[in-house]
Amino acid sequence: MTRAARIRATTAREWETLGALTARSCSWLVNILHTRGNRTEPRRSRSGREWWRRYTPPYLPVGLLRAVAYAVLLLSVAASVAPALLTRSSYQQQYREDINVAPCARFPLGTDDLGRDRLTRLVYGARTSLLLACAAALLSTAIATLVGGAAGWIGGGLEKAVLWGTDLFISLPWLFLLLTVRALLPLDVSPGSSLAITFLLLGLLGWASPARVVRARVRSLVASDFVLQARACGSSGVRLFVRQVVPNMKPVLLAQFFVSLPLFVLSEANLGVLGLGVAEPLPSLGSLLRELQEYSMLNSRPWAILPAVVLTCVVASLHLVVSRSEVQP
Amino acid sequence: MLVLFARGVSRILSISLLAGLIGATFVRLGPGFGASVQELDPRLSDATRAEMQRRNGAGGDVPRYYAHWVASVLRGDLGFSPSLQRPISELLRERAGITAVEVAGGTAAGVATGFLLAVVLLGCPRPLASLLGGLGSSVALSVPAAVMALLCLWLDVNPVWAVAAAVLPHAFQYLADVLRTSAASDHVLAARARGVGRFRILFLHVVAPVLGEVAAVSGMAVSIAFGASIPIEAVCSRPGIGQLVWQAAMSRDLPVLVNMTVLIAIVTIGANTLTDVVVAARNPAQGGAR
Amino acid sequence: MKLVLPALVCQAMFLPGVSAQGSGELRFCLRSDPKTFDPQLVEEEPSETIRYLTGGVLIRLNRSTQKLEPALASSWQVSEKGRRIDFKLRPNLEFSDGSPLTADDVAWTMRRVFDAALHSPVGDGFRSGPGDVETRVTAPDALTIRFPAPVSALALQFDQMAIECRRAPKGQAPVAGPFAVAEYKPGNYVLLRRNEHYWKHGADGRALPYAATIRLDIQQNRDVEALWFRRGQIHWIGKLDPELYDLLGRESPASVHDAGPSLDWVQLWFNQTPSAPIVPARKAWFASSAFRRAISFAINREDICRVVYHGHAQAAAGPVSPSNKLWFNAALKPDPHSPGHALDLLAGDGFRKRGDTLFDRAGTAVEFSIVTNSGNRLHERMLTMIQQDLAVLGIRVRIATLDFPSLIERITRSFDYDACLLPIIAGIDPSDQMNVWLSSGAQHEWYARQPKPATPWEAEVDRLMRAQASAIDEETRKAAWDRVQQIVHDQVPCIFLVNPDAMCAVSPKLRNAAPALLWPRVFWNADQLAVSP
Repeated sequence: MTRAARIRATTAREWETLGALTARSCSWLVNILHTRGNRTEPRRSRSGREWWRRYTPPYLPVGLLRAVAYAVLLLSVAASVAPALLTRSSYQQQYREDINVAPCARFPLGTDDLGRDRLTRLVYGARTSLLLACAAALLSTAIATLVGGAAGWIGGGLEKAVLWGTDLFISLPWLFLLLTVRALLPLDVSPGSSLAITFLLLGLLGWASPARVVRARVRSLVASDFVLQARACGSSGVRLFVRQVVPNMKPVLLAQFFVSLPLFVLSEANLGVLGLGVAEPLPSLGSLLRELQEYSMLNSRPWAILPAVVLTCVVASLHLVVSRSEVQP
Repeated sequence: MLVLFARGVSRILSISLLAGLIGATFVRLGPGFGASVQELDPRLSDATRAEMQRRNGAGGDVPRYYAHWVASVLRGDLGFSPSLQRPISELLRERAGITAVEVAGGTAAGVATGFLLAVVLLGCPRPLASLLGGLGSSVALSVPAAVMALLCLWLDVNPVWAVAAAVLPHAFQYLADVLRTSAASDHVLAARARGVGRFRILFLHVVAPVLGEVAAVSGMAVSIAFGASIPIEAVCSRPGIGQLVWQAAMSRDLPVLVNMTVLIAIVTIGANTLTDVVVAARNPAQGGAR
Repeated sequence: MKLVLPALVCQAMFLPGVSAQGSGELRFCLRSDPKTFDPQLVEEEPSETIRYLTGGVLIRLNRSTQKLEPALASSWQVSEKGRRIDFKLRPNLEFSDGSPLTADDVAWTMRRVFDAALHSPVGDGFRSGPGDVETRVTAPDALTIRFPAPVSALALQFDQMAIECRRAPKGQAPVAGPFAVAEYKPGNYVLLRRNEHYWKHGADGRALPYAATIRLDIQQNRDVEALWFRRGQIHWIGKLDPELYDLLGRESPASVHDAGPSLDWVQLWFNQTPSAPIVPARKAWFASSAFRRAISFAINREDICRVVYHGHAQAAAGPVSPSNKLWFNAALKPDPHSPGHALDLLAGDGFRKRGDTLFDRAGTAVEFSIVTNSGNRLHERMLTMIQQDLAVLGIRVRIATLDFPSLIERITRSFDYDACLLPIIAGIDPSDQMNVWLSSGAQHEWYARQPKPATPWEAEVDRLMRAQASAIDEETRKAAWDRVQQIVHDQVPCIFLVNPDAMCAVSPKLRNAAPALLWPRVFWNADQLAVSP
C-alpha cells in the first residue's frame, strides 16, 4: 500500500462513528469467545502484528484518542487566544473567605491558598506558559538546527569549532547570567515582560545539547545511501541539504521540540525559586507546578496536581497529533 | 592513538578552564556577590559585618583570582570555601562519590530503560507504540525533578531513579525515532524477504547498527543527569556535588563555584568526547570531527 | 542468688521511667550544615544549635520563665552601672575530658571573645564602647570582668558565651555543656554524645543529660522534615509553617504546640535613602509620613493573619511582640484596616484618586515595587494580598522576589529598590535592636548609616536608645523603650504587619518537653529530654 493510501485509510477509520466502534468491538469479542471455545486445531505461533490484530479490538481507537488530542489542543489554543471563552473570573481576584476550597459549582477546580479561582489561573497560566514555552522551544530548536546542521553537514574545521563551542556553552553556569539579567531589569517591569524575557533567555540558552544531537544525526545522514544517490544525480550544497537531509531530521527535531517544551515550563518553575520567572499575580504553569513541591499539601488538596496533568496532556496531544503522518495501520 | 588521546585531553582541559574563567566572571559580576543573609543580624557590630563582607567577597579581582586558583590547583590546593568554612578538596572528596553514583546510575538506568522501552515498543504496532511512548515521555517530562525526588523519598526508593526518570524521556524519544528509522531501512526489508528470523532481524539488523546512537545520547544524558541531580540532592538532602553547587550558588561562594564549574565541564565534555569517539569508531564517515 | 532476683525487681520498680539513663537518642533536623564548631564564631542557626547543646555558659536564660538562672556560675553580681560583673563558679566543674574548669578558663574565653582579630559576633554583644576588657581572676573559682563602658543587660549577654578550655589544642576542644560532638558527617548529620562530666543534676538527683545521644540530621526541605516526623524518625520540629502545623495537628493534635506570638515580626518599609537611584516622585511619596500611614491603614492585617498564617499570627503594632511582656508597650494598637481613612490621609497630602488610579499632586500615577526574598511562600502571599489591598486605593504595586544575596545587595549596598518586606528576628532585650533604631545603625533599614539624624524624631530616638542602653534599672529602660515604640508607631518609618506565632511539633514519645516561646523552642531543656521506649 502506498503512503498516501495508508493515510487515506487511516483518515477514513478516524471518522467512523462511536456506534460502529462499539458494534465492531462487540462482534469481535463474541468471535474471540466463540473461537476459543471451539478450538479444534493446535495452537500455532503468530507474528506480533497478527497477534495484535487478533487479540485487540478491530482497531485500537487511535482515532478516538486522536480526536481527544485535537480537543485538548483546541482547548489550549482557546485558552491561549481567548481565555475569556473558558472562564469569566479574574485570575487575581481573591475570595478571602473561600481559601483552599474544594472543587464545587462556584469554583470547578476549587480555590488556592489566597482564595483565587484555580480554573481561571490554570487557563491563564496555560496560556502564558504554553505560548511562551512553544516560542522558546521553537527558538532553541531552530538555533540547534542551524548550528548542529551546519556543523554536521560541512564537517571539518567548522564541525570541530562548533563542537568546541557547544561544549563550552553547555558547561557555563548560566544561572548567574539569568540572575544578572534579573538584576539589570527594573524591579517594576511588568510580570508579562519579565516572563517573556525569561523564556527568551531559556530559548537562547537551551540550544547547545540539541545541537549536538542534531549534528550526530546529520553526520549519519551525510553517510547514507540516498544522499549519495542524490549527489550522484547532481544535487549539492544547500539544495541537497534542504531537500534530502532536513526532511529526515524531522523526527529528531520533533523529539527535541517535545522535550524542550515541558523542560522550559519546568525551568521557569525552578527559576521562580530564585525570583526569575513570573511575578504575582500573573499565573503560569510553572508557578502552579511549584505547588507540587509542597507534597504534604497534596494529601488535602489532590486537585493541585491538575497543572501537571494539563501539561502532560498538552505535550502528549501535541506528540500524538504531530506524529500522525508517521502512523501506519 | 596517543595523539588522539592528547588532543582529546587538551580539548577537555582548554574548554573546562575557559568555562571556569567565564563562570567566575558571571559570579563576580552577578548581583549579590559578597552578600550574606547573616549581615541582616542587628546584633553584629560594623567591624564584624565588614569582616563578613571581606570574607565572602574574596576573589573580587577575577583574572588575578583565577590565575592564582590555577596555580594553586597545580599544587593540589583547590582553595577554601568562605560559605562552608572548609577546604574545597575535602568537600569534593566527601561528595564526589555520591554524585558520581547518582549520575552514572541515573544515566545508565535512564538510557537503558529508554532503549529497552523503545525496542519493546518497536515490536508493537506503531499507533500503540507512538501512543504509549508519547504518554510515558510526556508524564516523565512534565513532572518536576524535585517532585520525582519527593516521590522517591516517600516510596523509600533510591534517588538514582529520580535521576533516571529525568533522563528517560530524552533518551526514549531519541532512541525510539532512531530505531524506527533503522527498522524501516532497506537492508531490514531485504533480510525479511530472505526469511531471516524476527529476533535475529531485530537484534542484528535493527538494534546493532544504532548502538552508536546510544552512546551519543548517553553523552547528552550525562549533562541532563547532572542538571537533575541538583534539585534531587537538595530535596533528598543527599550530600553530593549537586547540593554543594546549589548551596554555593545561593551564597555566591566563588571558590566553590569555580571548582564546580570546571569539574562539571570536565565530566560533561569528557562524556561528550567519549560519545563522539564511539560514534566515530562505529562509523568512520561520521567521525570527521576528530 | 536469693537476693539477686529481688534486687533486680526492686531496681526495675524504682528505676525512673523518665530518665532511662544510658538509653535514648533524640533526633531532630538542622536546616543546613553548621559552618563552624567554634562557639565564638557562630553566625547562623545550625552552628548556634550546636553551641547551645555543647557549650557550657556561666548564666543561662530559662526560655520558659524568661528569667536568668545560674549555670556554671553559682552566683554573679553586676556593679558600676553595668561596667563590672563578679562571678563565683560552682565547685568541682569539669570539661567533657575530665579536666577542671576554673576561672582561668573563663578569663581566657573572655579575652578570646574580645580579640579584635577574631571578629567574634559574641563579642559584639559586649562591645558598648572602645577599649579593652579587663579580667581579674581572684580565686580558682572567682573572677571579675570590667568593661570599658557600661553594657546594657550585661548578665543576659553571657547566655551566648560558651566557656572554652584554654589548654586544649584547636579542633579538639572539650566542652562544658550537656553534650559533646562525637561525629560529624557533612551534609548528613551531626552526632552528639552525652557529656559524662556535666555539672547539672535532675530534680531526682540523677546526673543529666538523660539522653545518651542527639542526632541532628541535615535536611533543608520542610516537607521531608514533616514526613520524617510523621514516621517517627525525628522527635520534634522546632519551627513549623502554618500549613504544616494544621496538617500535623489534624493527624495528631497533641503533637503540635502554638506558644502564641513569637518575638519576631514582619515589616514593610519604604526606601528613604536620599542617594537611592529611584524616581524622585517616589522619594517624595516615601518621605511623607502621611503616605506611609495611609499605606498602613490600607493593609488588612487581620486578613493576612487569617489567610496567610491560618490564624497563627497576630497583627503587629510595633517592634516588640506582645509576648515580650516586660518590654511591650501595651498602649500601642495595630492600625485597623480602613481604606476610607487611608484615602483621607492621602487626600490631605495632595493625592487624588481618579477612576481606578491614584495620582499625586503633580499628576503622576502612584505605583511602586516591593521586593522580598524568593522561595518564601508566606511572604509572597502576603505581598499578593497587600497588592490587592493597595489596588483599592488606586495604587499599582509590582511584586519582585529576589534571592537573598541579590536582595541584600539592593537593600544594603545599591539601595535600588522602592519598598521591601522582610521579617525581623528579634531578641528579648531592646539593646539587641540598637543597630535598627540608631540613625547611624547599619540595620536602620529605611535610611541606614545616617551621618547625622535626618529628622527630629530620629534624633529623639537616638537619644532614647542610648539612654536605655546606659541605664541599669529596668524602669528607666522601660520608659525610654516605650517612648521609642510610641515615636516609631506615630512616624511609621516601617509598617509593622504581623507577629507570627511560635509553632512547633513534638513527638508524644518525647518526655519532659515543654515548648517555649524563645529559641530554641523545644530543646531549651535538652539535658532533661528523654525518649520513651
